[in-house]
Amino acid sequence: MLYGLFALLAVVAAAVLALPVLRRRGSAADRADHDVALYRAQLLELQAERDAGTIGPAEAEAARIEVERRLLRAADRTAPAPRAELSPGNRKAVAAVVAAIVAVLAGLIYHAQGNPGLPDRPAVRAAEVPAEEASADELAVRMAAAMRKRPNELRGWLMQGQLAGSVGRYDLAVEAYENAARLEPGNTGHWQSLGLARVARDAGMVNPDARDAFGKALVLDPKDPMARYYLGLADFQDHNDRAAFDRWAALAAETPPDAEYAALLERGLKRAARRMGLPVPDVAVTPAAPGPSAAQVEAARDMSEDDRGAMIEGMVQRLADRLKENPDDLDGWLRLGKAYAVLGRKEDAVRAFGQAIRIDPSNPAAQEALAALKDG
Amino acid sequence: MIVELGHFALILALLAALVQGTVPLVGAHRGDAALIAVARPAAFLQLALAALSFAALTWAYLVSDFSVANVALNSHTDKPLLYKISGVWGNHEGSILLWILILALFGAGVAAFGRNLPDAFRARVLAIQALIAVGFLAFSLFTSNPFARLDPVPLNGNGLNPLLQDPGLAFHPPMLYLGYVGFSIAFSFAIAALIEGRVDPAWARWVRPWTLAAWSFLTAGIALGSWWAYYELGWGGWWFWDPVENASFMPWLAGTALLHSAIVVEKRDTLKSWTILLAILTFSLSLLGSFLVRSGVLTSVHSFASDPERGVFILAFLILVVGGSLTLYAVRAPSMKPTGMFSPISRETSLIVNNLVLAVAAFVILFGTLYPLLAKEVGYQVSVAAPFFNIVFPALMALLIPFMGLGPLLAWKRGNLREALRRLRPAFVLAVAAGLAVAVLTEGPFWASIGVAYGVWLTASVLTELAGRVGLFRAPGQALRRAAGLPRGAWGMTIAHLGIAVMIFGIAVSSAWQREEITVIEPGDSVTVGGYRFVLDAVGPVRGPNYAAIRGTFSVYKNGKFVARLFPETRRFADPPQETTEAAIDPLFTGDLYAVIGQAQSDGRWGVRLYHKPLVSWIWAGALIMVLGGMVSLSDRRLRVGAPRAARVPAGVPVPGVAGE
Repeated sequence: MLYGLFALLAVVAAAVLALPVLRRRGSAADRADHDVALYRAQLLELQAERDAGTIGPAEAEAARIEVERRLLRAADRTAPAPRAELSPGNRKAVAAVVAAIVAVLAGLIYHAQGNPGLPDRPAVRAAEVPAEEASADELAVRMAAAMRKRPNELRGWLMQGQLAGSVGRYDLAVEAYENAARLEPGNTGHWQSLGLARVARDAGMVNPDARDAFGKALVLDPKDPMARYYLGLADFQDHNDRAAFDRWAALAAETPPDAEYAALLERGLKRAARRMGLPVPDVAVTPAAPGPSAAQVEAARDMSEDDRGAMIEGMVQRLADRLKENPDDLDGWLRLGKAYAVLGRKEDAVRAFGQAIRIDPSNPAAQEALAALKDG
Repeated sequence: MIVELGHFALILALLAALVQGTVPLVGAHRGDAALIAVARPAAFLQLALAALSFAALTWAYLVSDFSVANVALNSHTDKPLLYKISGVWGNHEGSILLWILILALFGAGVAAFGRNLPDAFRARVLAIQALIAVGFLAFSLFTSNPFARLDPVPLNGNGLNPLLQDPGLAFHPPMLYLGYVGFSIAFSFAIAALIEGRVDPAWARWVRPWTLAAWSFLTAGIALGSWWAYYELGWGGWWFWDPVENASFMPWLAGTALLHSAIVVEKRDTLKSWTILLAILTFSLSLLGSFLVRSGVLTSVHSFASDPERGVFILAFLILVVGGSLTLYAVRAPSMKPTGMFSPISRETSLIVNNLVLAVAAFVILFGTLYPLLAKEVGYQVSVAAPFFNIVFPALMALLIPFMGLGPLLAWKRGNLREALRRLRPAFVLAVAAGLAVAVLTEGPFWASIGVAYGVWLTASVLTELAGRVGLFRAPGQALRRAAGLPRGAWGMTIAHLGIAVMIFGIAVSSAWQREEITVIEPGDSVTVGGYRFVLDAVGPVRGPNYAAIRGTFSVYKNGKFVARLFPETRRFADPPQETTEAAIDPLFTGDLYAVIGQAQSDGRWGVRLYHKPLVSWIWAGALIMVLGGMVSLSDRRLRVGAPRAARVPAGVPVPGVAGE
């Protein structure tokens, strides 16, 4: 099938290119004819413009004489272009060579580059969704309809929530867990599930309603790690980096290194640290990771002001040194600038943000920071 | 199967271009009609194959076929439909494929609408166009194949950059490319003329519609890009002189010069060699711009070093195109003798001034863009930034604009300067008066009054010229009829020049009297900017399809009267984690109100940026008017004249001057 289409395409292309060579033709119109036609048209336009009065008589006269001179010259140029037409035999040869080149080279190049064995793999295509998946989705919809008729069956809603979540109908899952939480508001698990479903529905964003659900869970169980993680994420997404970091750091301090969510938490801590200009690898939940652990970072907060200053200055200096060797690191300059700003080294901060703007003149973060520095 | 078919079609397109680029060239050289005849069908075939290939890639994007590496890298199942489509050309490989498609489109355009061209000449034009396509097709297939496959197939794609999800950006590149690539036709015409050894008024008239079309697209493309920067980047600026913008501006300047010098060739059969050179340079700048900047190959040393294949190919291609065409030019140009003489005071001279200034401006920008790049290669850090351009460019334009008013009033060949100046006296007085009034009555910087004076001068002198043409003061009764009878080309010029005037007003006034306020306020507070009182009514979270946002609500009052309500947003996307600023803009005829909401402060207040930008929308209105002028000029009936049959004189109509034939 595929090769059949290739062959068809190649034959059409070769034919379009080769057939004109075979067809007998009269000689091409001479170039001089075209020139004569143009100058005649120019004269007519001139006449029209003069009649309309949009051009002065003297100007028109001068233009007319000039165009006429060119017209005469073009008409004189009668020498025909040299013609060296191919004999019919040679034409056949040319056509054959053209067709052969197209077909053979196309085959060779495709042989070298193509992947004829790989079928198309569309990710979404309604008609080709596997049968079970389609029915699972449908099942979730039907079950939702059924549940709405007897909305006080807690077990039913919980099953529906699981089903809808597993087939990706997060909207239905949210509905199910809302009902579950309504029926049994004292159960932390329902609030957790509701929060998760809302986050999944919003493509990973912890929006106010999800935050609400986790907040409820936290009221019921102040130690609940899931609620604490997601509330931290909400802060992080709102750019309350300090709040997010604090929440996560506190959670990390109570997290056993083999907890399921340890890796997730560590990544969050690193991202928050990076945004605040703290050195990234210096936070870790898992004990294997190098650098000071979260506990040490906690400790750093309890250090005396001077010690902490020295520690931070050291980190900033390391960053600055690294940037000297690698001056095109945009993120690096932004981080350094923020760090300087926090340390109150305003001139250094301005210089660092200036470097960032040199790399990316329209970088909004750098411009905003610069403006803020200049204002304050 | 569809993907592989697209790949095969691309390979066939390369071979078809190879044939189209050689056989007709030999045919034209030997005068063999049969070989010449290959050119036209080949051009149509080329378009069909390129379109098939482009459609296949688009399909892969539409259905999110992540077995195609290009789709996996640049798309995502959650992307809105519009951005799946625009994702096709939002990356290096796809943008090269778009180039190829548009090249083929223009080639087929010449094949379809170029019936008035001599067969041999058209064959040469199409052959050159095909040779350019060979370069791009080979580049695409051998270094940047859009149809490379992945096995195993990734679960989801990688490309969900929210900053690029914007309708302005979706349509900006195709528009720009229509401009860039459109100039390839002017280039092909120039090379064909050099091979043929003849450049004459007929040539100039043939090349004009293509140049006009390309120029109009490029103008629209640049304006769209600047508008996008204005409202999406949220910093209130509309032109930053960054390399990407400069890359599109250089061919625009050269193309504008080409448009004007081609008129001189058409009317006066002189300035030929310069016009050919401009055609070559314009396209070379287009190539340089799209290769070096848009494809991102040279923007950083690292990408160049990590992908030497592409870099070497691009350099070789540029050297071949630019070097080859300039060599051909050097050999053939001396034989192009001008036949029309003209005095120093004439329309020709004023057009030469136009050309010189535009060429110098293009060179200055080229220098300012490439110098930092080159310096970086050898280890220096130089930055040629906006302040440099902001001084040099207006200074150059200040030289040009007096001639824009004066030139059209001078006759061809030998103009009457005294008469022209007499007619322009009212315009001059008006301009000086306006400038003085601005300087005395307002508190703007000195250059603002100069800008306003230039705008008034240009408007008034263009209208003076129009009034003279239609005899508004000599025979007012017939003015309307005459205006209708004016050639579309003349109207096009008038409209485009007025567009520039509108743009000058916009630039001068908005830069001089823009008022901005960057501050921290809480809901209920108000800030007054440029006479407008912005009241922050509320700030709250809102939820979008794949983002969460903070939305501010501003009410704006002027003199206590309600003017507008603005809803700026800061949107946060989860995957990839990114933030975009959606400025809220209320475009008024007299000026834009522009609000941006920034970070929350710890005390419950919000960072806001508020602007009042008087007349700023006139900048884009001016560009639109220029495009309109281009379109009107393009519709000129005269551009279609030139075929021996079509122009045959109808019986009974006397042709002045050729009666004796």
